Amino acid sequence: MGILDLGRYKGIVWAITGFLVAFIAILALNHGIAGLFADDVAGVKFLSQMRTQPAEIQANARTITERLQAGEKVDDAIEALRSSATAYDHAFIGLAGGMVSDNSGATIGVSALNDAEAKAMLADGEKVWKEYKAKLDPILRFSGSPYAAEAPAPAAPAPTGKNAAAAPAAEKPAGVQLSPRGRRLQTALVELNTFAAASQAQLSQISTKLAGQVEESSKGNAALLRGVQIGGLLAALALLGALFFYFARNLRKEEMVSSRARKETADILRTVNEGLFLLDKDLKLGSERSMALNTIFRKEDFMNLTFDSLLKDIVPEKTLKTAMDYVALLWGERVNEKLVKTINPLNEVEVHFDNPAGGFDTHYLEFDFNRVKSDGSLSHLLVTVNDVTKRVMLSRELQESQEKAQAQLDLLLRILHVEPDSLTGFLTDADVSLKMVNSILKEPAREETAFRAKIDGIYRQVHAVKGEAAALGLKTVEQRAHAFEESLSDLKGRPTLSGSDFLPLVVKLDDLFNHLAQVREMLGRLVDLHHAIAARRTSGGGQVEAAKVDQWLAGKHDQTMQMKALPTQQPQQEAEAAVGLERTLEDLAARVASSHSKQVSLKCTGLTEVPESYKRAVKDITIQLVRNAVVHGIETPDQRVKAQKSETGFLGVEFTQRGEEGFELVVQDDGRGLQLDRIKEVAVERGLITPAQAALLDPRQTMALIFRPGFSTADRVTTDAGRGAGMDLVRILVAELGGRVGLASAGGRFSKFKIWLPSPSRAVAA
Amino acid sequence: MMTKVELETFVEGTTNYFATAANQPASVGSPYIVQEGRPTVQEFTGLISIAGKRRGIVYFTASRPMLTVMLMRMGETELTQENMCDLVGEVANTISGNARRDFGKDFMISVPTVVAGEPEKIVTPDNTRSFVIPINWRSHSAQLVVCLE
Repeated sequence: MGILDLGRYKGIVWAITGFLVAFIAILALNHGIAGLFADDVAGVKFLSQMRTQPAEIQANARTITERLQAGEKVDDAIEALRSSATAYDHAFIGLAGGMVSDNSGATIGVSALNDAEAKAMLADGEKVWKEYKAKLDPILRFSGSPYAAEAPAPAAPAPTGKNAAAAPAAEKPAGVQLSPRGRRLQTALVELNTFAAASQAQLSQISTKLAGQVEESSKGNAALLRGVQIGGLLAALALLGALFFYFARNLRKEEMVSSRARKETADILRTVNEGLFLLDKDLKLGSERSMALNTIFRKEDFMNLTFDSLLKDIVPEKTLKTAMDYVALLWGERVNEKLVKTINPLNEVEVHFDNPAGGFDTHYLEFDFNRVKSDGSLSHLLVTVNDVTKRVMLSRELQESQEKAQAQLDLLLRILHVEPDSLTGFLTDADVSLKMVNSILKEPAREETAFRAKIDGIYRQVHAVKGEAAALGLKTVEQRAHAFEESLSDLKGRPTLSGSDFLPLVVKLDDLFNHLAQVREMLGRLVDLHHAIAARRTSGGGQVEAAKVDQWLAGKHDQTMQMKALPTQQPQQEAEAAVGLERTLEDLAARVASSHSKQVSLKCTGLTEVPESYKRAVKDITIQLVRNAVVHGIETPDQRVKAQKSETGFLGVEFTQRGEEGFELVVQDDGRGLQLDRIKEVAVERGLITPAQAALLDPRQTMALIFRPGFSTADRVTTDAGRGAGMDLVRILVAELGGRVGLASAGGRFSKFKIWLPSPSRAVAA
Repeated sequence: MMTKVELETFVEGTTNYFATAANQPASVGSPYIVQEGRPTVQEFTGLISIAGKRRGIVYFTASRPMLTVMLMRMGETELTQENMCDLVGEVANTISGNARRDFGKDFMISVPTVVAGEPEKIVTPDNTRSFVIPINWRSHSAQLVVCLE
């Protein structure tokens, strides 16, 4: 800004300059008139003094006369007369030029003396004075003694002075002899006195008149001065008034502009949806902020709040530290703002507000920082805050649903290979089992024995779930159940047990519950899909899709994928041929055989005849026995060839009614049969019996060992075998139903499990 | 999914309190899950809310007889409702302290609140199973309930 570029202050600068100039001009005028006024006063004073001068001259002349009469010395009196006459003469000369002398002897011009009237009066005075001077002249020129030579020594001088009484010149004391010059002096004095007496009044009057005129002039100047002062005062007041008016108008204008601007700002801050505020260098919030901030931060009072205290209560400490570090970074002078913005850690920050009803309300806030520069240097940070909870939740939901969809797709691919009825059955049974596990856990326990007692019960339930999941090929469920079993094994091996040891179990149980819920959801969707397609079919179209789903739901899932077009009429009965459990067992046998590099052919009969109340138990039992047979009984193709058997092992499951008394379930295989020596060996290794006891066991007792908890001849623990819970489960299930287990085996030829179950009514009665 | 370590942290916080403040250690009972409905709430409950990496509530709930004995063991003669509230609040506070120490800075843990009776005031997150861990002390049994998403 240049020095003359006054911008919005131009008006005020001009107004003040005008005021000052006017003030100085009035001051100068005032000063000038005041000077004139002083001159007039000096003039009046001078003229007043001048008025007395003729009297003084006359007095001095009289003194000389008296001295002469008294025969005294006259030199000093003549000198006094000369002095007064000279002074008066000078005064006249000065006045003729319009000048007077002040006290200090300086000459001052008095304007009033220059006007015509004054000049005329002065001319009259001068004329009289001229005559006066002519009368004075012989006296003033006198020198020496006026007395005759023989005259006596002068007596003491009589008092002199202008006030001394004048004695008649003609009278002289006897004995005073005047010289001829003395007599001429005396004569001149007589003439002078006569003239002085005649002219004194005239001269005084002239002085008085002149003084009066000067005084008049002085009065005029005084009036002018007053006028100027009043005029100046009025002008100053007027200017001041103008200034006030100007200021008031400008102020009002500015006030209106700024008030409008303030109102607009307030409107913006009240209406804007973003939280807006400024942060200073001390990270304090500015006084102006948007109303949205109250809603976003759920508080009204932001006075003297720092950024730190704004966030402290709503974010974890780690987030707070990151936020503060980032804001500090923004204050650096040499910072690339765009670059720094890309690493904004508060882009989507999770905050938690205390909920008055207890707990937290979680929101997501988006902070944006802009560096505000003033005069080239960083003065503030403008912070914009948005509540982006909905956006974040939507995007998370989307992400979660995508992840879930992926997981469900995997799950779908798995369950597409499972018969729907089997799957529904499994889910129901597994849910019951897991709830049973939870019930067992819930039983109060304080003593170690109570804790230990829980393990076996839980084991059986989990093992059943695992077995069935394996049979259905539900790998994800099987793995989870297997992990559960491992935890149980770990607990079993511990010397002491407490509730804390059971914590991993509840976590795994929770996981299983969750997973089964997912499978259930998936199944539900498939069923919904079926209904939807069925609905479309009734209205025509979608025949192929509907048939595919029907196929799958009917259990012909493997063919579903290959199905290209709908054959003329698919017999419904055919689809129902392979029923739930049989299908499950076939799949199980095939899968276990495949994982053990074996070949097996399963033949099931009578499984459709299983009474409803036995279905679950029969399923659990046959799953365990079929798996056991494939793992332990059936040999590998090589071994079978060597033993002169067909490569494919045979496995039969038969369920038959035995009169009214009950049912018989037979599971047999043409494998290697029970290896009694190996059974004894393992039983000793696992501490189930001592070597001495082993030596005493007969074949029947030896075979019974396989039903003991924890017995397994498998070398290592896999999801198929190894923990020795399977046969125990069979034993318990049969016992629970009031049945019996029979076992026959011939080494190298076969094994046969024969289970007798009472009819359901008898079982209830029992 | 809830982890074993998280459960252990809360349990440890509770048992620590008994070992130090109540002058007699408590034993942990057999834990179980509450799938539907409300987990157990006894007469006095000290509750903390958790946010951040996990969200939900953790509370310690005990009966009046148990708290009475605890107060007596602690040398407190005034067996008032106020003191019992303070006691469950303190247990909740110890749990919170333990959680702060173990879970680090990713969590936000509220100050404990105390509920006397009024089980409806204890709101667990929707569709979330609760873990109930019985805390046995002398002949009494309190519960630690962990319900986190």
